[in-house]
Amino acid sequence: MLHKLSRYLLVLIGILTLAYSIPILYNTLFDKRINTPQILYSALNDDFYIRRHDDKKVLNPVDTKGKEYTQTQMLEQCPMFYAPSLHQSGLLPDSIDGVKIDIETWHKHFIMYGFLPQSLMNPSDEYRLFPLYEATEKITLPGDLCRINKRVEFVNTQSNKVNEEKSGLFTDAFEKEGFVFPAKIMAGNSSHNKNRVDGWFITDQRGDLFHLKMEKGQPLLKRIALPEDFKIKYMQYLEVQNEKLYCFIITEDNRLNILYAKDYEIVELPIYDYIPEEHSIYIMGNMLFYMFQVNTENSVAAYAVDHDHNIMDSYYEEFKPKSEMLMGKAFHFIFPFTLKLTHPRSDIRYTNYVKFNFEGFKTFNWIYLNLLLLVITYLLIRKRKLRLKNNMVDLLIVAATGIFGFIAINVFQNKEY
Amino acid sequence: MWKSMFYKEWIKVRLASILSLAVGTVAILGIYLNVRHTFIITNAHEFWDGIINQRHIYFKLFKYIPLGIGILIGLSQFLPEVKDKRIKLTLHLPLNEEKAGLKMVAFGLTCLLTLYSILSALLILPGRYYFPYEVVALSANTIIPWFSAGLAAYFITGLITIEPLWKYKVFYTLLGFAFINLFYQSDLAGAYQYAWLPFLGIISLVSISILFSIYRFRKGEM
Repeated sequence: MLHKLSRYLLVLIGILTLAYSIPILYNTLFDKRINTPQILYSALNDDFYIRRHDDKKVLNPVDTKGKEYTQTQMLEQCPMFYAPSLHQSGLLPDSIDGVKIDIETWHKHFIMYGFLPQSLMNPSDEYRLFPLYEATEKITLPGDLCRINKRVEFVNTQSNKVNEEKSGLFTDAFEKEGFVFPAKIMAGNSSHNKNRVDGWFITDQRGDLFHLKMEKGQPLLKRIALPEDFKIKYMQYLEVQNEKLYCFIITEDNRLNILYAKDYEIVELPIYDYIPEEHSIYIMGNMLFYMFQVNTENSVAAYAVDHDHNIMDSYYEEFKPKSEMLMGKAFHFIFPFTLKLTHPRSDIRYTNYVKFNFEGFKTFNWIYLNLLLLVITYLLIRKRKLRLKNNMVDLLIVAATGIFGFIAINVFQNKEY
Repeated sequence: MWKSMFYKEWIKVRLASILSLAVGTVAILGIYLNVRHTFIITNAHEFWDGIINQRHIYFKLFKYIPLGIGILIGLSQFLPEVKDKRIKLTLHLPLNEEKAGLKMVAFGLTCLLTLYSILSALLILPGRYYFPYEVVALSANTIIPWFSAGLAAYFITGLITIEPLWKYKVFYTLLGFAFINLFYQSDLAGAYQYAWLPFLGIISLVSISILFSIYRFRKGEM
């Protein structure tokens, strides 16, 4: 009896393994690149420019009216994106809309940032240890790491021991400011390759936001006032040269906000269709405007936003998702379901955690192949002169799991002796 | 019966066990000598930085060692059985053939679990000397899929070795490779921390797989 059970268990293992491996093999062979267009905004013409690729080459950019430009023309039309190369060739305009443009100020104000679903977590979120750099001196590795659990602790990296004196000093400062231990979200730059030290932005147990810095070895903790009903979900510290911005903050209800350095002002951005766990957002800022590009599986939206946070212009485009291309359609005809071990929507290269995800049974296209395989299995049973009664489970397996079950029951064959 | 059966199994695997323990210990020694050397030569903070900010695994050298041990123990236990079809003798004992097969696997599993406990303790515990508990805890998490892969590989080695037909040996090996591959899907520390329960489940599914091959062997599949 047990040998029968062992066979079904092996078949099950086979199905699991095949449901993972065969779709990967299929994608490796037939995957198509989705050429998401890149959107640029020109402050000169107040219009968007769209750069597309096809599989072989970069196509000429077009504006929203469909007029074609050469690459060089587009560079000139969008000076805020290509200032360094325009500066080199002497084509950078002196001023736009009355604002004086020079390359130094441009460098100071330029920001470019992308959030992908898989990069929403900060690296320090895993171990919850971070270095706190001295803000007043040259940037050097502090030699200890900070943890904020029941209290603040600094662990020396060489000796692996807690520095009690420093820990006590900081814990007192935290308690004085009303911080409720432990820390939840921590945003900052842990690298020592940086221009300046802004410290860390930390939320406490209650969700209140604090700014932590160290000056001359002393703790400097400031509470940051939050707007009403403001629950922080993700926070990314931005290292920009102009010292104007601290963080992008995404709230529980998926609103996107900027935390400015001046008076710790939090401003909501007029972008409402962004779901951080599913979409990617690219943020570009300069001295004249911000531009946001939100990419989904089958669309791209771009918003030009002025420095008062009003939308000046927007652009939206949809394209064919993979599931509607030939390879995507065929996929649903062949595989009833697939097993994914990595985050379902993210690219395997960026995966942080392995999880068991079964996907599928969305369409019923697989039914044709399952029926065909069912008939073949039935014919094989007849040909091998096996009793149908003993093979009912096998038939059920093929009916439910299609190609995976068919391979599995034939590798682990049901023999009658 | 248990005692004599276990003694027979022990004779087969003792050399492989000692060899596995030796190789594992030497690897761990190498890992910590390297950590010690790095702490002396360079800045300890930089080493911590790699671990904490890039989720770098400082004991990567150990990655495939549990897998190798699983296969080695499996081969040393089951190859002698198929040589000259000696397993026939075992199966002719006044003992249920399934029971006999499961006893063999139970012995191998005990042997492996003992080896794995010793090696994982040797690998993880000294880490506390150099690193904070956060790193040690996640390191323990990181090695779970590696050791699980070793267990799964042991069961599959038994299945493949006892299988009488070459054609099926090849099929099982291909599927076995794809299966073991599931345990090595990420190079980041702690990547499996939310998945080890389902993985433990699928290992238990494969644990009695040798019975299928024994059954086919017994029925004279040639």
